Amino acid sequence: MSGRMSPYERFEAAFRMEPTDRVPMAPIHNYLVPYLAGLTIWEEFFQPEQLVQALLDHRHLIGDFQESYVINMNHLSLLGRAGWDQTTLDWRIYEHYPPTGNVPNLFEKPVITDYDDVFERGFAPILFNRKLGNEIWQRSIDDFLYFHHDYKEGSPAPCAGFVEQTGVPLLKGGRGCHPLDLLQYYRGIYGLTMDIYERPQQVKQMCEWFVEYEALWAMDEAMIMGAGEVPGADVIFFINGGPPGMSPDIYHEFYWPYAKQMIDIWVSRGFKVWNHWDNDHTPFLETIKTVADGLPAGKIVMDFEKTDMKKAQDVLGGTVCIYGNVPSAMLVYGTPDEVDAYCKDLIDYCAPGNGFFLGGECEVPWDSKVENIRAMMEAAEKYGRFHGDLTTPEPTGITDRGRQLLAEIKAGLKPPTRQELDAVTARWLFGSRADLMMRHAPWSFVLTKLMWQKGEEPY
Amino acid sequence: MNLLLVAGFLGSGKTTLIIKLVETLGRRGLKVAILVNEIGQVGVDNQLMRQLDLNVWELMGGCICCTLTAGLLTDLHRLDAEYNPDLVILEATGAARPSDVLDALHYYQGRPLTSVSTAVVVDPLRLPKIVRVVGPLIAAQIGPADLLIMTKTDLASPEQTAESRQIVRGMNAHAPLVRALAGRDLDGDLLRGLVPWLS
Repeated sequence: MSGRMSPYERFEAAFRMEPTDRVPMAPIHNYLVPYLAGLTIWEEFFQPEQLVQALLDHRHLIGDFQESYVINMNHLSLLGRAGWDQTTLDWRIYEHYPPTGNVPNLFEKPVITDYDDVFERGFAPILFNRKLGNEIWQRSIDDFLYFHHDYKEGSPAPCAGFVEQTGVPLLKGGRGCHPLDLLQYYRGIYGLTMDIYERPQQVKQMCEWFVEYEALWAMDEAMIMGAGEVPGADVIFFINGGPPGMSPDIYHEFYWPYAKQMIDIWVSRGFKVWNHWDNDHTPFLETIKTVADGLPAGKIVMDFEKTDMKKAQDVLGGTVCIYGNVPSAMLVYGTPDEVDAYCKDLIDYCAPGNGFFLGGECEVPWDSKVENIRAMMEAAEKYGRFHGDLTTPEPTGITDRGRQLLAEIKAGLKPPTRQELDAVTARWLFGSRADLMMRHAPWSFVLTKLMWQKGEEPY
Repeated sequence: MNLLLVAGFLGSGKTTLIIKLVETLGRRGLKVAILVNEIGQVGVDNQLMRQLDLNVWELMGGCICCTLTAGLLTDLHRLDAEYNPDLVILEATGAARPSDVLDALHYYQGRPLTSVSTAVVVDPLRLPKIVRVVGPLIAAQIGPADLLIMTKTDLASPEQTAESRQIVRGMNAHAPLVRALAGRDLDGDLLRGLVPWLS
């Protein structure tokens, strides 16, 4: 290494736990940049060109990679993940900054009341039935059509354009949720907690459904975003919220096996995985260390919210890359000096062995102080310089080395086939009747929509 | 301004307790504000409280795990500047750890809080099952509590109450443990435990 790396070269090297010119860093901007640019939430998600312009205007706050917003909404198209995500379900609450109203993380109204019925008939009767009484469902079909077709056709190009201009890779191309996260949405935290106690086998069976469905669709999203051609698009963002504070035996029986299964599927097909782990997973670091077992090196980042980063470095260092975790409250209410000191401490401890990204806990809050974000970025420059001649300017755009990396990635990708996607989606929608429904798929869809309009179950 | 954090797992009876407390304090002429960040159907608890003419301030923010603490401070500053209540009751989500919420007070810049205390509500009908699945979360709620409140003891069997008491005491041996009976007003011990600064 002789000079400055480009952001993409740095991003890839950190993933692979190879030396970088300086510690890579990126605050994840879901909301701060759109807020600073004066966009509404609606514009942020529905006007990709405006969003990309906002990102270009605020390049100085972005760091070494950038969230690909499109997928946050695009996954809504997939029905299973439709609606029950805090962003998508009631994103209208957020329509204007500052967000007003009580924005719940989860809705405790159970969508699934009978697991066996879902196994038998699938999710279609639930998703297209406004008898649920939730006005959100009234837009299910419209959202399905918009996000499944129009939006995903319109958004990858602006994102790719941003990457091409700046050389800043995307954080992710696709997104998948841990099955217990999804079950939380369908059953509520309370419901899922009691289900794990009272009907563990049904919970496991449902998790097995979700593993394949989520894993395959996440890869399809990544391909739509340009995996192998657009830097960062080959990364799957894996959301691990899950019931907070799980008992160890529950974690090992209900949580970890499905997380590992999904990561294995993605990595074995050539994708990288950015694991976002909400809550505090410090007690489970030794288990998490096995994430890389049986997999090629350099494919996994563990992004921790509340987990102790120093302990994470002690346990995971040299095995997988870690990302984190300047506290959100500090970014909103702290001072640049506090942020600087916090970052220095993290960099000094976690960065020297390679494989460390400096970042926030989750996305940085929309009302973070800009000077605190700048302090975070400057800390990476001040304390995280390691190799090469850093007096040279950072390359912009995608470098030759970057294109070489992309070619290597593209050659290793094994995306899901149409048949695979259809099979898991049919099972998800129609349960044990999937084969029957798929033989008449176009009519099934029309029928579903018609019945939804009548407020009745589709069959 | 006093701050009372009311925590406890989902469905343990936090909202019911808070409503009773606010009604009781309202009759004594105290200004009380409630910050709600419940996990639940949008605004159900808020709407219920509003119907009772309670002063509910909804916590702003996004995902609980990411920005709750920042939103809490925003609202505390707003309350301090615009309403100056005698008591702010923060109803934490059923999945929250009190320490995560209270840690954010490090950045509170309003007038000094007169007192900060944590009351944790437990439901003996379900506590043993819940502990089996999310034991560390429950321990993180109960452990640092200043006051422990067992609800629904008139609905639970003596065995259920005893088992839950044993669980609670295993996690917090020192905080006063008082009972709250369904459908009854706050009795003296419970009220004194919740607002010990009330003369």
